[in-house]
Amino acid sequence: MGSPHADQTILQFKGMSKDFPGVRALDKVDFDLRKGEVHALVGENGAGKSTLIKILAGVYPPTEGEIYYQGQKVTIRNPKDGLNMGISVIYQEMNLVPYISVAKNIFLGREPKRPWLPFLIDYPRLHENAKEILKSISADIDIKVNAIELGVAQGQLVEMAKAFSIKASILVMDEPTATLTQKEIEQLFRSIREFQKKGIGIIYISHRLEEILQIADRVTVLRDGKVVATMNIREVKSLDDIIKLMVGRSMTAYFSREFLTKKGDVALEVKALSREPVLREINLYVRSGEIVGLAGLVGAGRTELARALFGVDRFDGGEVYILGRKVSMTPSRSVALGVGFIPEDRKKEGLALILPVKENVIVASLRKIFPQGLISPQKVSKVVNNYVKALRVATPSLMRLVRYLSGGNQQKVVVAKWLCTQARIFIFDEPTRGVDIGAKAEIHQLMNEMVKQGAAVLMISSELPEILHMSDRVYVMHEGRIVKELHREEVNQENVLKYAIGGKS
Amino acid sequence: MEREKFQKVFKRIPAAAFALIFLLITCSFISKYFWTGENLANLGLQGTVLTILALAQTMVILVEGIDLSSGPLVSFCGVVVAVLLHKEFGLPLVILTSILLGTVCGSVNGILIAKFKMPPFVVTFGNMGVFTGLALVITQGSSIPGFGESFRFIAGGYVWGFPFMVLILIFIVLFTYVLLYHTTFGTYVFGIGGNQEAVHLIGVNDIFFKSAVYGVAGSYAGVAALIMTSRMNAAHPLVGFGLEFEAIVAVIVGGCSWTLANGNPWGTLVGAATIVVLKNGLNVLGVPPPVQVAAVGAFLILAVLYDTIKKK
Repeated sequence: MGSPHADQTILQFKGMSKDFPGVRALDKVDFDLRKGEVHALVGENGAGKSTLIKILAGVYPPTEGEIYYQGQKVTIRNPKDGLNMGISVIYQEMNLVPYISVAKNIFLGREPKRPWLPFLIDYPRLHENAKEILKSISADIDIKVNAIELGVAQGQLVEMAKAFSIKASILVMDEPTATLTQKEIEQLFRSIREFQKKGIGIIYISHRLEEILQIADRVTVLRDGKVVATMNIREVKSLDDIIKLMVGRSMTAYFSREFLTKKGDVALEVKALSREPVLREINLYVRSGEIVGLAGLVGAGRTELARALFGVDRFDGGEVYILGRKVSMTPSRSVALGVGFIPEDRKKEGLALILPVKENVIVASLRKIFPQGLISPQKVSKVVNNYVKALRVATPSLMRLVRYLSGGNQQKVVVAKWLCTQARIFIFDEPTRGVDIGAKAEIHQLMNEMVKQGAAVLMISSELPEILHMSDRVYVMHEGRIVKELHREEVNQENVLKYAIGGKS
Repeated sequence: MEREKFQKVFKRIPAAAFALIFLLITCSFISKYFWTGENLANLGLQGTVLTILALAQTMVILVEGIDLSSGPLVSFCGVVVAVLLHKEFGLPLVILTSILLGTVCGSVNGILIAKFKMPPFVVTFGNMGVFTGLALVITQGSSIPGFGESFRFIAGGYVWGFPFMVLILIFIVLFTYVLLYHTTFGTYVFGIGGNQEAVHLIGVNDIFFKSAVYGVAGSYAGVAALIMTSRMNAAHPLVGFGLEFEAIVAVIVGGCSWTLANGNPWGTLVGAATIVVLKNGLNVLGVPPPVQVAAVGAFLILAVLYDTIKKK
């Protein structure tokens, strides 16, 4: 895409680093953006893309490094600073006000006033200006409807119009196409091209690599907080080049699993499960003695599948079989049938943070252990103590509130809760998210131990190395469907990533 | 398509609208005086204070808040008005003081809520006690009666054959409409309730505007206090007791939601009218006031039950 503004740099990051407690999210990143170009930013989850954007938007201060804006060194202290400079960020989450019109949303905070009564909004001018702006980015939206009536795609166009109306010189788009249809994406691209013509530089984050080849002028690949490459899009021969750059890391730090040659019966089976529009015709099974990985990008429907399986969310169609018996799932029935769910967000969904370890471990088993409803504290302590010891939960006492435990130990408490219910089928959603390396290996070892003793595990993970190292088999999801089942020998990073981004078999 | 559109519109009509129509029909059967000019004027008089407070409450609820102190604030402003009148302050000064006092008290609510992030329920619940207490201290628990002709004109006078008080009400309704739909203030009210982050990110002082909403609500209470005191020709420290309850009922049954700033003043007007007609009808039937309070409460629950079931 040859643009007339080529080679005029508007933004430059020099040696940008960002430390969070215990992690270096960005490590000496150099990045630049030219006038009128689309610069794509790609990388795995956790590679540092969002951190980079948030520094640019003024949400985080950088630990070290410098930002140059149109040749001048600047500090962006808060979002307002960024906005005044002409940096506009369209986050994945919508930033529109639902019950005011599209026109008012575009000019929020900068409404035109009537010349003779400057406290009144000048509706004719507001509507005219809004129409003009939407037209100039070739978006066809009724300016008088409330924003709540808009679909995601239209909402995005309104946000772009907003960015345009503040005369932004830099537009950041975080996964703009994640939930759009093909037609909507084409519309979005048309609008992006209009922006380019006006000399606006666009930073474009997307997991959909084919799209990047289509819209971007340059691409920067981030891995583990470092820039691995910045290339002109013409230099990119194939998607595989980018994928290799994205994933090429050493994975020796991972626990190596013992794979069982003889597996048990099918413990969990799903036939044609659907929940429009997030889950479509899901078929899968898990045998006891195996860990089945569920891979895919954020938004592919993995967590929705886990929730539907456990009975948290209803589904429109399909069947679930536990140990060969057809069942209709509710959380309480799942517990009774020996299914355990270790949710993605353990602090919100897996634990009662302000209660001690003891209560958290026993809570799901009270009905099983004390069917009469009277609780014996001695028995509770004895039972809980067994699991805490077996799982090596590092806690000074059973009375310690779980909020004071580390992420890894909190996760062990969640697992202990389900072991305590005598669960045999486990659904792990991001088992090691937010736990440190040591605890990660311990949790992996624990999972290994569980399947050796005949448990069946379905494991959702966004971390490719975890999927690769832990899974007997892998199902890859894309846009609500299972697009591929990979057996142990076919499980490698290229394959998983290829199907996750929508590659056909 | 037509049918869908109809269903969409139908779903947005709050239960209060149907209740109002039902009540109007019923009332015309049980009382032949209902549609007389005298009774309608009477309804207007009864409804004015409630409607003004309900409109104020609408703005507060649009920014995801609640104002439990608006009834007691009416009492407080009322007794201050009475004291000033008895000290022979001029009428314009008295009017100004009442409105300003309301604004200041409302702003105290607003600042504690917006700036110090305290829960609206707690702040206004506390000030409910504070305002009531202040009113009791000033009057030492008794009422202050007897004002001059000019002050009583506010609630008792007629202009071009219309009760002056009803003209005030019409002015307040128009004022609220302009404020909410034709000023940036109104846009930010919807913005703060709907997506405060978006308003903040665009560089608007969201804290200031959120506080200001409570200040404006307080000024409405100041106006209501003037009307109330004038109409009773006396100020009583407990006169506002329970007014906030009816105002909140009017807003809720009018279809205003506590989330996303999904609501409008028109629903509130219908809600307030329904309460006034309901109480008027019960009066005609000779139902005692305590039972009327229960009736308003039951009406709230039934109306919301209907709206909740309809949404499913």
